[in-house]
Amino acid sequence: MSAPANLDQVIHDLRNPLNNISMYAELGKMQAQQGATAEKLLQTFETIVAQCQRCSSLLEELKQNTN
Amino acid sequence: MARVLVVDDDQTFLDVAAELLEGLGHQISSCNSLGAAQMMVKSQRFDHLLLDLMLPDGSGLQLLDSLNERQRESTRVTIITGHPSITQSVKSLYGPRVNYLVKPLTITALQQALSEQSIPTTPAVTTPAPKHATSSPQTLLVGESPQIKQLISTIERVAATDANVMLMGESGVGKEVVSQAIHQASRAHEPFVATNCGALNKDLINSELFGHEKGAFTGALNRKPGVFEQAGAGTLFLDEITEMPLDLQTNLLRVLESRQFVRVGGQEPLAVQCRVISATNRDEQAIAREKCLREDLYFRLAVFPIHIPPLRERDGDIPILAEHFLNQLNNQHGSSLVLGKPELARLCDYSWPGNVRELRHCIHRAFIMTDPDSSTLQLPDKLGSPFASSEANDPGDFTLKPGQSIEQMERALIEMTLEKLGGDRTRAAKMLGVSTKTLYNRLKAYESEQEHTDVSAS
Repeated sequence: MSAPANLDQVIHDLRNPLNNISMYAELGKMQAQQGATAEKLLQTFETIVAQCQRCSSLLEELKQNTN
Repeated sequence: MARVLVVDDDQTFLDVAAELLEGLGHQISSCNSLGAAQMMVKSQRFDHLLLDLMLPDGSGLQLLDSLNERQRESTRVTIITGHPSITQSVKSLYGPRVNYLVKPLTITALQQALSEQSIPTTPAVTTPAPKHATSSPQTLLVGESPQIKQLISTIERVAATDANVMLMGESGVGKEVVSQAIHQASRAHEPFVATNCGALNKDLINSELFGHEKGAFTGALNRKPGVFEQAGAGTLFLDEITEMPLDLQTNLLRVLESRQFVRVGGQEPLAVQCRVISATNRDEQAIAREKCLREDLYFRLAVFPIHIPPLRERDGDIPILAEHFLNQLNNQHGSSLVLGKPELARLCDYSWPGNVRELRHCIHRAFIMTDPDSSTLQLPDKLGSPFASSEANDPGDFTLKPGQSIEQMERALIEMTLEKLGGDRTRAAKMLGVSTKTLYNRLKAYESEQEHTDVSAS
């Protein structure tokens, strides 16, 4: 597998959704501690799922570019 | 609370950062480009900038160039980057005002970056020497006397080790401040947990220290972590360790020896990872004499004993400390009171039996009582707390009893005065209303008397 020219760029792009997952997880912890409504917590978890999907599609792109 | 500007091109991040930081009690503004950020810093004042390095129209670092002189001094900057390697190369360019966080961020990292004592931090993975992740004891300890310099260098030395530390010093000398300085210089990114052994309920002391499982005893409704668990890999500060009942000291000893503990009612052994700093207002002799600490526990706790000198032994620091406390109050209340020379002299003349704490309270009291129109701090007519003066009037072994000779009383008075003034003979003579020469003659006489009794006793 030869490294694509844009590997650095992909790694950089991956860090953003990964960071958002971490931040939203922290937010979820804080909301749970402060007794936030179920609706608020759901929103937070939905964002985490969406950010995971963003990671996944970035990895998929990388795979296609490498093959 | 800090006013924080967050600049990042990812809207999802801006949203969550705003919500998290607001939850932590900060006031947040955000924007997604360098241009917008440049506009904002021109019109508003921020305490802290959180910057992404790569923005669509330039680098976050360019924003630093558009800050004016005053903003540069008062605004702290945290660069958020996805590249750990960048922190090293940029650090040397922008100095200690700027610190770095590497994605993915955690709330602890954010909190630390925004906290008062924040000093350039770089993640442990990229820095082999953790020097910059910690702060120097100088930021917490105020003073320029040789004693305080010695203390700072001791703290720096002990911070580099994992040794347990025992702090000894009179009440009010700042044992907790020293423990925090050790923590800041060694494990700043880990928790600092302080507990007062004298204030712990005897029946609950094990649960307080080691935690308990749900249902371990009546009233244990939930699992609760003890202070050892809360401190994690940080620092556990056990204040007034000599107040802990002797039979309970055995449990603490066992935990320190095995480096393991079990929650009350639990099975699973947990590892002790923290450094234990204990403190007492007794010295080694008193500890041994009063048998208030098991000897084996003493050796576990005082791997590195540190004596903190009383304020009267470093009276050169009194003006510096007084100015420091006054400046703090001035900053808090937007005032600009100064200390006049006569007031400073009075502060230096007093013996401060309650040490730094008493000095701080004295300045605070004077600050409240000072006439709002005055430009200098007005001290009360009598310095010191009512407790300190009643102690001085009623020392343990100095009571008037018929049958004592005037000489005995005179000697007791001289010794007591000297002790109160930390052995300062000139000031003692002044207080006693005799010449220094007379005082020296008396002391010499006592010395030869003592030698005489020693010789006849042996």
